Amino acid sequence: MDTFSAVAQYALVALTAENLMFCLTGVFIGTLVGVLPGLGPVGAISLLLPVTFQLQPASAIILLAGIYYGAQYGGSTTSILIRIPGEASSVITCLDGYKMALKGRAGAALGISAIGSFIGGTFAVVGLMLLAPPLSKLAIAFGPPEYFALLVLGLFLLAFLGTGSRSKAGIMAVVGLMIGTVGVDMTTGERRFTAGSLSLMDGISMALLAIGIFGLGEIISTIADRSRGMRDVIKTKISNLLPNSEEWRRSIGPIGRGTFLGFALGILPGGGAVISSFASYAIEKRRSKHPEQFGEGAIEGVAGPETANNAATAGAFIPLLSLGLPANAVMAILLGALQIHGVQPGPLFLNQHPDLFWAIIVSMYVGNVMLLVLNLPLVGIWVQLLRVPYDLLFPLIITFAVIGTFSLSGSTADLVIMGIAGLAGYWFQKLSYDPAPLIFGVVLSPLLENAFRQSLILSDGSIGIFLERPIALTFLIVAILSFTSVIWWPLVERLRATRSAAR
Amino acid sequence: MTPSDDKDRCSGVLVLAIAAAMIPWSLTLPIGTVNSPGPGLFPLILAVLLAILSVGLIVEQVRGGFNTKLIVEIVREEGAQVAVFCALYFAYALTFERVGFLLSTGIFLVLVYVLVLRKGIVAAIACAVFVTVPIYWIFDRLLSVSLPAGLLG
Repeated sequence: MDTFSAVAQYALVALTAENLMFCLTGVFIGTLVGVLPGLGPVGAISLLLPVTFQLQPASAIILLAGIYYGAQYGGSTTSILIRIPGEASSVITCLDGYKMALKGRAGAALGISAIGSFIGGTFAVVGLMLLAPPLSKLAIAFGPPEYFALLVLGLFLLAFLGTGSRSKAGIMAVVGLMIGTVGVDMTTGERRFTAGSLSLMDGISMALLAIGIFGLGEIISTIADRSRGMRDVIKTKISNLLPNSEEWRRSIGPIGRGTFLGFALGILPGGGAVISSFASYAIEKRRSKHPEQFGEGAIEGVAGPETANNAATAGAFIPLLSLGLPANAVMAILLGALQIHGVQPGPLFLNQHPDLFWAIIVSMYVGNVMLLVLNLPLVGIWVQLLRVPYDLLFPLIITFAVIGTFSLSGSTADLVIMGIAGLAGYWFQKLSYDPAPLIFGVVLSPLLENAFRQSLILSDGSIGIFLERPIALTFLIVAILSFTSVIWWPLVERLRATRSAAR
Repeated sequence: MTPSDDKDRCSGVLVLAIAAAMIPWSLTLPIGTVNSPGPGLFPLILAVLLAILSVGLIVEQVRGGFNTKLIVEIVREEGAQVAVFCALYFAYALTFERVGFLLSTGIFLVLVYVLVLRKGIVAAIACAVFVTVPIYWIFDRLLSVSLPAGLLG
């Protein structure tokens, strides 16, 4: 069945009244968490994860995915109006978006941001639709050694492309993998690291950790540093949401480039929305005839990054749906959510669950249209929400976190583990440890261990199996090169400089 | 020595200690053989890897000498707020089932408002009721998420 016949056949799953409602709810919550600084899409998705356990898999993923790409739309609003990014991927928008607002062009900045996000998001979904099926077909040939090498590559790329120290990212990934080994070993039935506790027999739930680290951890950080919750909304009239003809002319190129760049970077583990927005800004500034205008209210500095970060969100679904490899923390949580529903994303996903695959894609088209409607005409409502004091928001977040955790297993022990995870999340922030690789590790740990053990059994105990199979070897070489580039890249640069000096 | 170096070194030592504890713990599990790996092999490899990475992190900033000044500063500036909040949270978590959602959440929020956020008692009670009652109604009654009734049950 070709792509378009499949879309036609399975589109109806996404277009049922129930799923349309979940899509609208998801993009609405996404915009909300994007607008409100303090709780990002990872936290919001973690908090809502337990609620989705009662839903059909398609409805659950449509809702959670909507929060993810909806947050990218909403994140720009706070960047432009209060110079506080609602989302990490909107940090760069603060530079020119806020300056545009100060110059009375807040409406145009918000407008181009929403329109760029719509274009980037929609075209990237087309890319997802066209690229994911052939990639799945290619990956069907993967055996345990290739899959093991692919997962290692994913973890290494996350450390390589992620923000901050590679050693720390590596540590977090390994700690996550170790947490993933807690509980009963599925192969031998042996209890591992349970310390005699019955509640640890099933392992430590990824949802529990995510709620604690991203939800409660954020609350503790904000309570500890009260200045973080303070916001001063710009007192400007927001009108003329459509940019003028000159602004349109200047935005078309950045939107086009941002779409391709965001989509390509979104596919890479660790890449995603944050890197793509920074990369887009850097490219637009370098290409501009007036780079001095960047940082002073250049519309290209809003159009490019906002398009790129939305395109990246769709790109991130490609490795998840076709390889079972999450590209970022949100994708890791979505992978966990699908596993809880008994669905394993990966090469066989498209064949086994075509309805779910195409429902996710179609819902993203629909969601992007909903977001355009939510973000342009209703921008005034989102601005009003910015004036809600944090003191009223944090009890809501805590209560949702507690209900979400308790509903997982009805156990007080889970609330305690969530509290410990929250405290750890606070310290991760203080010590600059990115928690995304940890969540990655927790989700991938059983898959990685299975692939590792199966590979060794297949090869009768020979580690050489990873070196004899070309695909696995290639993945491992790329993984090692990327992780060790911090050592060899400066040497290459120095050699190059010496050679050019000698010439 | 930059501030982050100091924090990295301290956290590196902590991670190394965790790795050092995990290695013998992993060895208590059957390691198996290479052609039939046991449940302890993968955790053991991870613990060794963790030890290597933590040493790497410490070595990256080895020149500055070890001191814990910055961590102490964080604890001094934010420690009291965080400690009070965490104490309240863990008390709340441990009594949640027995006391029930409405009472435990309400009391927890009032105490957080008064003791951590320094709000007046009337405003604290108003905010706690404003949050707790509608959420209980939505989840317990509307969405049928079973929340413990506790002392009110």
